[in-house]
Amino acid sequence: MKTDYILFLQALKASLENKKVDWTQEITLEQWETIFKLADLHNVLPMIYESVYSCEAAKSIPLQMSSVIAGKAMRSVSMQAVQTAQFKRLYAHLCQADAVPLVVKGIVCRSLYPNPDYRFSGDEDLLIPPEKFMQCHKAMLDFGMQLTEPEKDIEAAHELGYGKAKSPIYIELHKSLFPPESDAYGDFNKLFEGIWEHTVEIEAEGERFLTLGYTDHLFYLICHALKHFLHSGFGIRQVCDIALFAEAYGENIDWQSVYERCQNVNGEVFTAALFKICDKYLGFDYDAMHLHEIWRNIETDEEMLLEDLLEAGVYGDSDLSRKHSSNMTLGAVAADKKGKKAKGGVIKSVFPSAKALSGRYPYLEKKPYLLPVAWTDRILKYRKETASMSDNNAKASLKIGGKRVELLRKYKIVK
Amino acid sequence: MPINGYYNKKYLDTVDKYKKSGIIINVNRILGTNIHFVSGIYFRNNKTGEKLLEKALQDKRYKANPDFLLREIGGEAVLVPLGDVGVFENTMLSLNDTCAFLWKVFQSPKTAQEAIDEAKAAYEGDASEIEQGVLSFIKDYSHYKLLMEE
Repeated sequence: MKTDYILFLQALKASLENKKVDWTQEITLEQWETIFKLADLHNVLPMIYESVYSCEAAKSIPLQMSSVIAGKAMRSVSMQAVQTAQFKRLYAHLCQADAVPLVVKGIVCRSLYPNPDYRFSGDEDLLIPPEKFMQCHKAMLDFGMQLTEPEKDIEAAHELGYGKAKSPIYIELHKSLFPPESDAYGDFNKLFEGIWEHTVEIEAEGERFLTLGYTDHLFYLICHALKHFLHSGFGIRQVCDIALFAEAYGENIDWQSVYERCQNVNGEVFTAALFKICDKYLGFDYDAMHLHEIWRNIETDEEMLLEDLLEAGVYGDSDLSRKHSSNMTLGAVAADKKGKKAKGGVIKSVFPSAKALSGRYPYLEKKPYLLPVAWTDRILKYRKETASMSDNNAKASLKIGGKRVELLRKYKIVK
Repeated sequence: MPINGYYNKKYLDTVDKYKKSGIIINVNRILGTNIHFVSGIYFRNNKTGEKLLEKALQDKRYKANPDFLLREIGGEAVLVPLGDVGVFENTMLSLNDTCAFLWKVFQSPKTAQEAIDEAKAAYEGDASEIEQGVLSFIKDYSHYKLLMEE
């Protein structure tokens, strides 16, 4: 693995232990740039900066660079502090309105970090049963929240985004944990059918929140990482979340159940690789995570997965070529589920189905015959994008897509 | 004039209080310095100081405004405002070490004297300077509603 990646992971590990690195060796300017670029890409800049800024090796960082990094880190922490404070107020309001949603990921995971505000969350995810949705929606509006896509059919949509004027708070209100229309992972929802019977209240950042049961939540974190892996990748934050969650609540988790459910999504080898990353690189050994024997015995090579996720960034958005490669990986998974060969199909990535495009082109839901119009629009927009950006071209997308389909095979997600 | 034969009990109690807080060393030094006599209370400094001390030695408790959060990273401390906070909206206030320390002290309601005692326990230095520093902090932060009276 590249030295820069190793340094980045060392800094991350130190941060998770609320410690600072003691680097005294010479670290070149290029290496520092890579470390901070990775930190930025993975939205862990405050964590990395805090763990490295006072070490001997950091004295070589030019003042201009360090002040820019420090400023960015501070702004991130401040923004998160404001978001968290406002979310707590919103949640209290929803409770008073008797529209209590489940809080998933977000503050539940963040509160497990030594410095919660150092772990940036772009949004907070809430889950509400469909029959209580309108009540929750009204309570959100009463609080001053507004739909970010007001044209969306709120009855039909499985998730809705809400923002608030003059506030950084952003909420995703879900009726299901995964988009039911997705060929690649819509069926994940079946594995969460009993969740409302197992909810728990946990304390996070000084308040109590209703959330998924411990086993359900860990499995959800795994599936969420898997979902993004199927797209174009996920970030190291999600691995940290899984490690911290397992460490905090591992004694309450039904590990056998997690294993069996992972098998249902062909995710057990992928998950075992995640645990191996947590152990080898982030300082969470199997005992600390209360990991059951069944997980420890799975043979897997975690290094390829780790390199893929480091290069991917937070949601696999490190560059647009990579992002566009998701059509191939999702197509491969969908084909595999239908018993077809999982190929990184070029045709399917250029001409996806109406169902695959309906998220971006909502009119396809009611008028699937307009699919050629959507294809044309998509290709024209893509050509316009690629003409102006160097990190975004079809050839690169196809190459990345092909490579990533092989990665899916390696971790036995597809045959 | 002998003090005990001339000054009333209230004055003597106040002097005792000042002696305990380190503002005055002994009664005799008062007479040799720039002292004002207002409402039966002696204090050491100038006009600004007199109002500070008079107010501060009352039993008011001060608490940090919960609409401001302290966040620290990379050895720097800032106050982050939440919501509608007037002139501080969309800003971050950078604090030095002492102010960051005092902000934490006032996370629970404290009188000026209690804060001064905590500062003296935490910092080395001239006692009167520490006291003046705390009192200035209270004055400035109260003025901008960063500190609130309980």
